Amino acid sequence: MIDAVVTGFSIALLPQNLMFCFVGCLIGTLVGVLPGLGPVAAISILLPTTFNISPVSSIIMLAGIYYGAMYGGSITSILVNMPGEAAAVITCRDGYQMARKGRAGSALGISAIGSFVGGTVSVILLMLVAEPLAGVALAFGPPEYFALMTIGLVVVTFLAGKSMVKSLLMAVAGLFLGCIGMDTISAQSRFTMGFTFLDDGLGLVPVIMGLYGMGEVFANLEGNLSVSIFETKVKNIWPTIADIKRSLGAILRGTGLGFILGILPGGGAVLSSFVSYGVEKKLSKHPEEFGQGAIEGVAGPETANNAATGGAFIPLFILGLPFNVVTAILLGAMIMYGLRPGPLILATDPGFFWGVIVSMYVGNAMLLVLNMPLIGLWVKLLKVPYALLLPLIVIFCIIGVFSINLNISEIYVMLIFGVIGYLLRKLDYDAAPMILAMVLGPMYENALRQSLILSDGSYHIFMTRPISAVCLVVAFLLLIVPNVPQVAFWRKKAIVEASDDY
Amino acid sequence: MLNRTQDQKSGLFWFVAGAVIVYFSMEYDLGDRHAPGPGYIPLITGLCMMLLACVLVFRDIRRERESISSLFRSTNWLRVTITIFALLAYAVLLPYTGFLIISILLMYYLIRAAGSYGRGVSAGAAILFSACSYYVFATLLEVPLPAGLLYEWMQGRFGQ
Amino acid sequence: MKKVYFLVVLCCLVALPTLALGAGFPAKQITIDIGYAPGGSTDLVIRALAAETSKILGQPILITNSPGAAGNVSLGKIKSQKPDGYSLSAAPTANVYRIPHMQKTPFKASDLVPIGEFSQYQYGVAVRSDSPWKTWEDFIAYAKANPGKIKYSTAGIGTGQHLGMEYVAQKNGIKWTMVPFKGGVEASMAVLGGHVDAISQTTEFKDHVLAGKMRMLLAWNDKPLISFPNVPTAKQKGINVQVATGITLWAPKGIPQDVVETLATAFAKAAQTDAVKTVCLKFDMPNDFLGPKDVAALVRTQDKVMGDFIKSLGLGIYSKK
Repeated sequence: MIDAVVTGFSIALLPQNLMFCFVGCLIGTLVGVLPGLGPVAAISILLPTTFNISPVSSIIMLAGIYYGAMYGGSITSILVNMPGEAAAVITCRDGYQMARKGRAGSALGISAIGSFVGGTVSVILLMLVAEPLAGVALAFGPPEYFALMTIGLVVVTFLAGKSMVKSLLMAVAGLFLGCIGMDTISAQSRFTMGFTFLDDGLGLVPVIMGLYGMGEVFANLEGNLSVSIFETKVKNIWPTIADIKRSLGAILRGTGLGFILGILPGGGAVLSSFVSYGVEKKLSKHPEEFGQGAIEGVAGPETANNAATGGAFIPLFILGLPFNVVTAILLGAMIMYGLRPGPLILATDPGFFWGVIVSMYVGNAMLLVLNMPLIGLWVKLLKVPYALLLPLIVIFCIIGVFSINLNISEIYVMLIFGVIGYLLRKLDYDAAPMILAMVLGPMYENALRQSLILSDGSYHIFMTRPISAVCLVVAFLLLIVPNVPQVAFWRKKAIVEASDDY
Repeated sequence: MLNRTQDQKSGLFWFVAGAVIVYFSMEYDLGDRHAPGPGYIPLITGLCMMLLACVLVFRDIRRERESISSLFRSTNWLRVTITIFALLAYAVLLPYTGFLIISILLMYYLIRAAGSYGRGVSAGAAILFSACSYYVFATLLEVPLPAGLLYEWMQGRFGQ
Repeated sequence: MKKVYFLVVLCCLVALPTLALGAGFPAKQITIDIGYAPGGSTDLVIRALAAETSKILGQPILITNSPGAAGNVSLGKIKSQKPDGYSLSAAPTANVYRIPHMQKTPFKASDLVPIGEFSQYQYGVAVRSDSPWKTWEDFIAYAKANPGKIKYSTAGIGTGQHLGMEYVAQKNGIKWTMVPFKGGVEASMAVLGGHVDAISQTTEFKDHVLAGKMRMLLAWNDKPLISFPNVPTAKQKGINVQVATGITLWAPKGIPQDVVETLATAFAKAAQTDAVKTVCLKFDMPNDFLGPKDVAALVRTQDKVMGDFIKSLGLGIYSKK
């Protein structure tokens, strides 16, 4: 394997591949920063231009866009409470609060560091355990996904802020919204009111851009816009040592979580960022800080969503099966270049495989180097009067949403959710559980119904299959244990002791 | 219904929304516990929504909080509402006028609505932003932004 | 006033030549709206075809994408375009003869005129290599003897590959269960992971067959599959059901017949070029082109056949609720 890695380096470090890697990372970061435009749009747009470049270089660049977007997506989340990417939604919560307290630099910095660790470690793991993990991914059938999603829904309760009832209402609403569209199992269009484009569902991007992008714009229009976003002095440009110490655990856990969840089909980066947040909040000694600017709430999810990109490449390369939209486009691109990822890749074209893998490692390093110095620049962005930023944000959201399916109707969807987002802010509801439920809901429902078809209607299937049974038990424990009196007592004790140390 | 607190009003909304969902879910095949149909899960979400709405209202009856009208009192809600309509108008007119013109108008409105710049600066900024956006997205990234009826008519007449 | 008059005359003079241009088709750019997202196999294959056709016709062809509802959004748009041959849509043929029986569509078969069907997606039935069934007959025999035991995956209820299996079931007195998934990738995962016994789907699992992990039992296409020429086709087995579909270029109804002919001839010629063949082969698809009359006949026949079959199964718009 060592010589394979060396081959990989020899390819990845070629000057033109380094250049393409850099271009990809740069474009990815920019695309991630711009609200609305995501890696999917960028990769599809740039795809035709890559036909004249060598296959390996093209994939290196396109892959760079993918994980670069995970770096960039958090920047607007932190600075203007608007996620540039679906996976950066949960970063808004604590990242923006940190920025309001003058700690934007720390937030941006820890986000970059976490992203680097997550991305790099997941690439290393990809190199080491790709094959066995692909087998694990295959072992997950409908019952296993159902059980896993149950854990996901339990995590939704962890996301709850002050009011559990309100968070549950959001989650239920999200579950319903996820049902809009064509039902996979029965091929019936549900709640689409005759609109053909809704057959594919509401679409995560218009909803997120509406709830967070437009919603934030409307909320800000209420007040005085001639000032820049924050008047408080920005305390530090880079994260402090204390910040890094606190985030270590979150980063490590985020890496593991992100990588594993990235291997499984479905939400990948989005799911892993939410789960990481929930886990960090539950494990934290200062859970009340979450939502007010806890740095773990930024470090964990940001690490997780980058680690998920590494994980997502495993099924693509080893099985030749793309598990999300981005890898699906990359697969099409690879086929166009005559490369066939899949069970035959290591036999037919190991150079391509290792070249791309190693370039991902190089890309992550590039992104860290690229992003850290830029933090000062991004923070300066805060000084721009909001009156000028606002129109730009609006126009970018509109173009971003339009560019996905070239459908003006999606702009209407975004506006509707913009109004909803505005109202939610006024009435003190948090949209995050709704988004998670919208992503999980359809997968959950499909997994349930597919499992019941497999078992001819029997619910026993969930407990007789080992992985599914284990996941369900874990979900149960996650729900019950933290609330059990003894555990609650010990946790309170730990919290009190920890606060004494400060 | 005057001065009920915000949570109670939103609770009422959730109850009604849940009921509507339940109603429309019944139009689809519900199936049963062992073979859920397309209407099964939506029905459950509707029922849960109604239940949670009751809990919300019940909890809130116990404590008085800010009334919903006061939420909007000292804010510039008129500006927000007008902006929403402006954006709606934008979406409606977009296929007819094409991206560039309507974006300039929108930006001009938004910058002026923010209130801190005069007409000249606003117009200049609006044109600049729209032109730059058009260049970046339509030209560089080749996103086919709507071109407007006039342009399409000319294309139809004179070819490419 | 005189200035205005002068301008009006000038405009008319400028416009006059364009009136004459109507005579020679094509006189300007043609637009093909693909019903799938850019970068996918359908998109890339049609782009290649368009590139060559454009050379033959001597006019540029602009590609746009209207992804959504597996091609239905694009078809919904094209039916209201001008039927002058300058606006076309590329969407699977089956969208027009089969899908309207499964769900409400924004178009009817009578709204559209086919220019021709390009290529054909590759469909087949496959099992894991460790399963006991070595041939299609083995599989059928087992299914007959064990009603309700076989579970197979597809990418959706009412798809061609699902209906094909149900047709076989009807003819052989078999009872098996279909587990629908969201897309061929998930369906392939299900069979690879051992959660279902077989898969009837487009050949996303091709590499696994080539690697020896899976075995193809049957091909649904009329002609043998490009990558698996030795796999028996449904036709060879006497199974007469239209499962496979290709991508048809559609025009709104009312398009003049000579324009259809011009376009069809150009597309047919382009389909045979090496450039197009290479791209098609990359995606494992043939570069055949079926002419407009044949496609129209196919649509008419299958509309009836599929409609009756779906009705008999109680699916789609014929289902009880």
